[in-house]
Amino acid sequence: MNESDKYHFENVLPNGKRLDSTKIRFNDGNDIIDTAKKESAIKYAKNINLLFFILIFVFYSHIIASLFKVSILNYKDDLAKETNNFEKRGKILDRNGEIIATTIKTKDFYLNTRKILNPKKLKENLKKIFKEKDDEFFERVFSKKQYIRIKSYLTQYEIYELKKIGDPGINFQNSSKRVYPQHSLFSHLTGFLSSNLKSKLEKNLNSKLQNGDDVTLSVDLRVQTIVHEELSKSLRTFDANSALSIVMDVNNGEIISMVSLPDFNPNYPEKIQAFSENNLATEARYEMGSTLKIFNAAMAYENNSKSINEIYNISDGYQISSKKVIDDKDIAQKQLNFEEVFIKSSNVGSIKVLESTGIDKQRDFFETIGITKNIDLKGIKIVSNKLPENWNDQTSKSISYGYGISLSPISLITSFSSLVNGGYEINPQIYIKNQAERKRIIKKETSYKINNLIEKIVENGTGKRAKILGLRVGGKTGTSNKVENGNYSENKVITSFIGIFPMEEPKYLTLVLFDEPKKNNEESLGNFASNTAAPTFAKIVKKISPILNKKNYLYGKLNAVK
Amino acid sequence: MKFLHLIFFTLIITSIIAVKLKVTDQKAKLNKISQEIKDIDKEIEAITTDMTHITRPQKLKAINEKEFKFSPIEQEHLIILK
Repeated sequence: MNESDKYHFENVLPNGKRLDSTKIRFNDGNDIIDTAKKESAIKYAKNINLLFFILIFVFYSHIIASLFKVSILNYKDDLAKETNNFEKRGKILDRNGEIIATTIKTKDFYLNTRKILNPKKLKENLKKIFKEKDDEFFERVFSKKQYIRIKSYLTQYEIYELKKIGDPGINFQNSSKRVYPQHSLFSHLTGFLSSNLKSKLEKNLNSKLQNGDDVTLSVDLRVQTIVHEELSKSLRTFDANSALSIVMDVNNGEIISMVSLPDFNPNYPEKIQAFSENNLATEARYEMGSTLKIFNAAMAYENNSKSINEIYNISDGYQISSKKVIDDKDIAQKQLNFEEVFIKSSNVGSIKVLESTGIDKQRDFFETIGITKNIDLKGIKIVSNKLPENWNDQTSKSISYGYGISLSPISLITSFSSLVNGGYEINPQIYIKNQAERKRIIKKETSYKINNLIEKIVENGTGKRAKILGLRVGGKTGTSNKVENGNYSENKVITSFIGIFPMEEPKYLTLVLFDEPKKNNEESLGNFASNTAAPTFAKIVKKISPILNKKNYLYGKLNAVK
Repeated sequence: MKFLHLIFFTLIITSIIAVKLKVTDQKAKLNKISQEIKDIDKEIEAITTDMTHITRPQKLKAINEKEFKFSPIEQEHLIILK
C-alpha cells in the first residue's frame, strides 16, 4: 500500500462496530478538513464584516449628508419661508416715494362672554371705549354665552385701553388692513381694497401687489394736492356737475396728476356714492368743442395748405345742413386771417379752413395723431373714442369745430401732446419708465407753429384768463353744448381748457374740464371755457409751476455761471 | 477591531449631534433676530403710515391756516434772472 492509499484509508473508517457496515465516517487526524472549514468561516465572517461596515458607513454617510443639507445648505430657505409667511401686500407710492396705499398690521377685538369676570363693569368700560356702538349692541352681546367679534381694525388707543381693563374675556386676533393715508386724493387711480371687493389699480395689479411688490406711480402728491384743491374750489364756485383735470409731461407721457370729481374715500368703501367711482378722465367721453380746432390748424400747417394765407369772411355764417346754420355772433370782427380764426375761436372760420385744406385729409390726420386708436394705460380702464359712424364731408365740418366726435380726456391730451412736443408720438404712462425711442409723427415746423398759435390764443384770444404772471403759457379753450334728449341744449355746456407750459420749451400739459357749470366768476350770463376752465387752469398752474418747472431756478443758476 | 468601529461610530454620532445642536442653536438665534427685524419693520411701517397720514397735505394746510398763515410760493413770486 503506498502512502496515499494509507492516507486515504486512515481517514475513512467504517461507521460503527460492524466491519461490513456501509456507513463510513471521516477521521480528520491531521485537522485538514477542520482547518479548511475554519478558514472558510473566517473568510465568510470577514466578508460579512466588510458588508456590515459598508452598510453602516453608507448609513452614517447618508445621515451626515442629510444633516449637512438640512442644517447648512437649506437654512436660508427655511428663513426665507418664515419671512414670506409674514403677509405683506405691496405699497402704492407716488413718484417721490410718498405712500398712497399701504397695508398695516392691526388687531381685531373678540369677546368671550363665558370668561368675563365682571360683566357689568366690563360693559361700562367698553361703552366708554367704543362710543360709536349703541347700548343695544352691548346688551345683545352680553346677553348670550358666545365668542363674538366686537370690532375689527382696532386703533392703538383702543388696544391700550382694552389691555388696561385686563379682563380674561377680552381677546385679540391679528389682522391686516389696507389704508389710504391720502384719503380721496388718488381714489380714482388706486380704487379700494376691502375684505371681499377690490377696484381699479388694486384689482388690476392685484397679482403684483399680492407678491409684495411695490408699485410706483408717475403721479406727484404735491401736484395732485394742488390740482385737487383748486378743482374742488372751482367745482363749487361754478356749481358744475363734475370736473376733471390731468397734468402730463408731453415729452414722455408721464401723468403727473389725474383728478376726477366727485371722488370717494377708499378707506370707507361702504360709503361710496353712486357715480363718484367713475374716473371721468379715462372712463368718460365728451364732445370737446373748440379745443379740437387746434387739430384743424395743425392739419393745415402739416399739409402746408394755402388756407394759412387766406382771409375768411364769417359775417354770413355757414349753412352746414339744410336746417342748420353755423354763425359766430360773439365775434365782432368779421374778416379773419388764419391765426385769428383760432385766436377768436371762429366756428365758421374753422369750417372754411378745413374746406381750403381738404376735407378728405381730416381722417388721415386724425389717424396720424392717434385719435382713432385705443389707448392702453396699464391697470386703468379707458373708454374708446366715439368716432362718427359715417365720416363724410358734413361730419368732418362738424369735427372741425369740435362736434360729431366724442373723445376721452386722456385721448385728447395724448394727441394734443404730439402737436406741441416737437411732433413726437407719445403713450401716456401712469408708471415711471425709461424713455423709449420716440417716433416722429408730424413735422417739427408744424409743432413749432402750433406752439406759437396757442400762445397767441392766451395772449390775445379766448384764453386770456389763463395768463400767468412770470410764465409763458399757451392753450385753447373749448365750450360745447351738451346733448339733451337727442338735441343740443342751449344752456348746458361742457367747458374745457387745454394748456401748455413753459412755452420756451413745452413740457407740461394741463387739461381742465367742467361738466355743466351753472355759474362763473364773472357773473356773466353765459358759462364758457374762458370764464370757467381757463381761470381754473391759471390758478392750478401758478401753484404747480414752481414745483414742476425746474427752469424757474435753472435760469438764475445758468446766468450766474456765465 | 470591534472597539475601533465602536469608537469610530460613537465619534461620528457625537460629532453629528454636536454639529446639529450648534446649527439648531444658530438657527434659533437667527430666527429670533429675523423675528425682531420683522417686528421692527412692522413698527416702522405703522409709524411711516401714521406719519404719512398726519402730515398729509390737507392736514398741513389746515394747521398752516390755523397757526402760521404761510402762503404757497406761486409763479409770480419767482424772480427769473435771464
